[in-house]
Amino acid sequence: MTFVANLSRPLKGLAVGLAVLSTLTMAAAGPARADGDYPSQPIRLVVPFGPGGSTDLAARVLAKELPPIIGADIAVINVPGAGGAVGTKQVIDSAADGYTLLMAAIGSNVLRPALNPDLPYHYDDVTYLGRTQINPNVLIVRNGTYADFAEFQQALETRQGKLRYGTAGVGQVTHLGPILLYQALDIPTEAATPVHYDSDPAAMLALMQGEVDFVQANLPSVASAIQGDQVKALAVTTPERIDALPDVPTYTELGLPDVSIVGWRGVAGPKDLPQDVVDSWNRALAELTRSDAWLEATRQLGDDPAYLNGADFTEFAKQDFERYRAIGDSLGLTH
Amino acid sequence: METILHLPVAVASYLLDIAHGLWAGAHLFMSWNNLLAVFGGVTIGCFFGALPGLSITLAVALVMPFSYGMEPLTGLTLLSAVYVGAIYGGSISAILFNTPGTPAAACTTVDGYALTQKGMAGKALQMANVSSMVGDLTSTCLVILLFPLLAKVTIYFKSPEYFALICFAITIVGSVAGRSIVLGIIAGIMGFLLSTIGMDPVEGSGRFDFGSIELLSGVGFVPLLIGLFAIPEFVRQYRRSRMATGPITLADGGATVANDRLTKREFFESLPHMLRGGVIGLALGVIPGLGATPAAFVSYEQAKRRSKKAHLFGKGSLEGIAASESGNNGVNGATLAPLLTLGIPGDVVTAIMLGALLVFNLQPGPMFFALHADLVYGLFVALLVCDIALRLVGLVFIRIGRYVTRVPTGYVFPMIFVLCVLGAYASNNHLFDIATMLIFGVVGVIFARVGLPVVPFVIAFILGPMLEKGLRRSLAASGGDISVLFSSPISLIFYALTLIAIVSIVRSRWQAVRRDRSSESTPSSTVKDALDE
Repeated sequence: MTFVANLSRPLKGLAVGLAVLSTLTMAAAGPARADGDYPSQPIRLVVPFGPGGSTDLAARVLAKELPPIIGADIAVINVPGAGGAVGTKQVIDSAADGYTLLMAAIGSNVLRPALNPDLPYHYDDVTYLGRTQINPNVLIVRNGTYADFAEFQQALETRQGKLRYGTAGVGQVTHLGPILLYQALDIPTEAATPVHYDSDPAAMLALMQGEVDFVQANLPSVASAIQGDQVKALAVTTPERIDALPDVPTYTELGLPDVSIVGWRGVAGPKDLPQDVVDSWNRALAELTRSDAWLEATRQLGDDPAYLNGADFTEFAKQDFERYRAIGDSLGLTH
Repeated sequence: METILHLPVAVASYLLDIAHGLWAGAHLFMSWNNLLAVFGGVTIGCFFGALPGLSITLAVALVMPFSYGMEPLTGLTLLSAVYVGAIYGGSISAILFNTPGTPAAACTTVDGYALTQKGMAGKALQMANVSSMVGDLTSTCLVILLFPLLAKVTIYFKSPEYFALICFAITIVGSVAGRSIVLGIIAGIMGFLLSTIGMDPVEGSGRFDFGSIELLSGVGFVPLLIGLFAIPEFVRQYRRSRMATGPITLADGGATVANDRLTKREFFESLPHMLRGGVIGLALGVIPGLGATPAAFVSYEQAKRRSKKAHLFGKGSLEGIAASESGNNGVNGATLAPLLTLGIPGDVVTAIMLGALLVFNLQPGPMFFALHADLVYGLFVALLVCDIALRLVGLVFIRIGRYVTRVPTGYVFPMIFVLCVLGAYASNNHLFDIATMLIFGVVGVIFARVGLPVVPFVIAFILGPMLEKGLRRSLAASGGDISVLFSSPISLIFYALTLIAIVSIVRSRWQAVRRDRSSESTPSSTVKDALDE
């Protein structure tokens, strides 16, 4: 108050006026929302990857569609580095007030901690608020090499140690997916050699070049090449067939339901978030994932809408973590 | 007879198809929104590029949310225009403040800043602008003519070819090492070692991270670059001002050369370098993961080898600026080929464009050109209009830039320092990057003190991980068989070029030594000497 007292008269008037005005607007905004005073200011949504990537795009769709539902603006902030670890850690270390949240993804939240025990955070160091979407993967080979999955399976079983596959990096979905496949087929993990590239499209390019023999990559990266007959899709990892590829069987149909590896994204926050924050996000995400605008935008990105509430998402992340930790152990990645 | 006629007919119909496509593309492009996107984008890009510290990624990331809400062509045009503008804009702060505004302008600092110190900043800025435009124009025209073929080039570049190309690129160190090749190599090795910090690019495990998550993500390139260039310059200017009695300006003694426009002769001397730079930019832009920075250096190296005034390179050569700026701008259009035809982004900017394509529900890939020819040609037209915008917007920036050289450094450099801190943070929204920037500032000062050149250090830092990826992927795919590296004609050509480059570097150094011995008494008054005092 001394600060105000030292100001000249017109300025004092202005300061008081502003103070009154801001109190009024806050009071006006407060009761308009049913769930107490959260959120009363814009929310930072940290994306632990660079701009333009699939997690970033998912976050931006969310930031565009969610504000009218939750009642606050959402600012997307990219904090890339160390495969998503830097941004995730930044959110974990931030104040648990619900104003700094994380666009959670399989890579940063589960795969990195599962395969790198040295990482300074654990998969359950966050509060999972809700899963929003999953990302189907497709097994592709060069056109003209294998007619269908049975032929491919035979090659994999007989030419052990000869086939090579492209991945988007060690410990990525594209790396672990084929390993799940060998386990389901009961063949040794050395059945094929992984070659690690930088991204799903880069792995697909290596397939087209003939540097590798197969790739199991996310759908949007390979959809156009499949339509253009440059590569052939043999199987998809979702439980049901994908609209874009109606003729491609699922692993479940092929009798290999365990190869159900999908990427996923959702929202998480620091540990011990206040209950009203958890509640309002659960409600908001449930409503968001039913809205037409969000559904359409998400399908355009090549993702499948797949909402899970906070509790189910936590359980899902736990199962995923244990599954990949086991694979990591069997590969000797986690030593 | 028929076969002889076949080829011209095929070529004619091919060209006719392109002309038709361009006409349709121009039709799609010609709207006020698109023109606004071009001029607005180039201006925003120039602005971000020209301010040291504010990076190209930041500029593109900033307009990204807006572009996603636009018509597809307008959105993609805006992103491309920002890219084109920023790549050029980087040269402005490279020339004026010895601080590359974007990594791709690192090559321009050497000659550009030397000219500024001679009071010829205007000439340098003009040359950077003209050569950016000519380089971009050359490569865009070739992209339009060769677009369907470019994707095939990408297909031929497997890991072993990639490795061979990077081997060749590393010989650039020889031409930017400055006075001592040995010091250049030492700096290069240090840069290479530094680039190994962080996640192993192939296996993903941590290297030299000491359990720190910050080190695990590697040394940030933007903070490193800002620190290495801007901080030593800040220190140098501070010392200069301490020794002076009154306020000083950037140009030596405040005297600027009266006529600092480009002469016709200077333009035509540099024109071959600009055209070659455009072609080099095109060739390197088609290969994903290389980007504009190596293109600038390769172009510079080639120009130096062919120039009649090679001795001026590194001491304020307009030809050097022409080569490096046309090289890095030549990449712009070429990166669209792997992006649109294969869905493979070559750098951060194209990664954001890839995201935009998905948001617009356009699936990049082999079918893209067939399904959306109008859009592709519309984008080509946009790139051509970008070049016009680049010149017009550039003239405004040059005017401001020339003025800045006459403002006392006491006003200019503190502001630059603030921008550098801001830019280091904004590059990844991470406080650690400010520390990185300051640490490399100290490293830069030490480098200047002991005479180690900074540029080879930066090149090695960029090329090191690429070399490693190329080698290790080749070996992983071949099951450890080393002969895979020498099995394709493309690789062999690049190894041959590497050998030629090494021989020519050794020979020219040897000749220089002999010349020095025979004329030991002549005082050598180079800008480098003036810099070092």
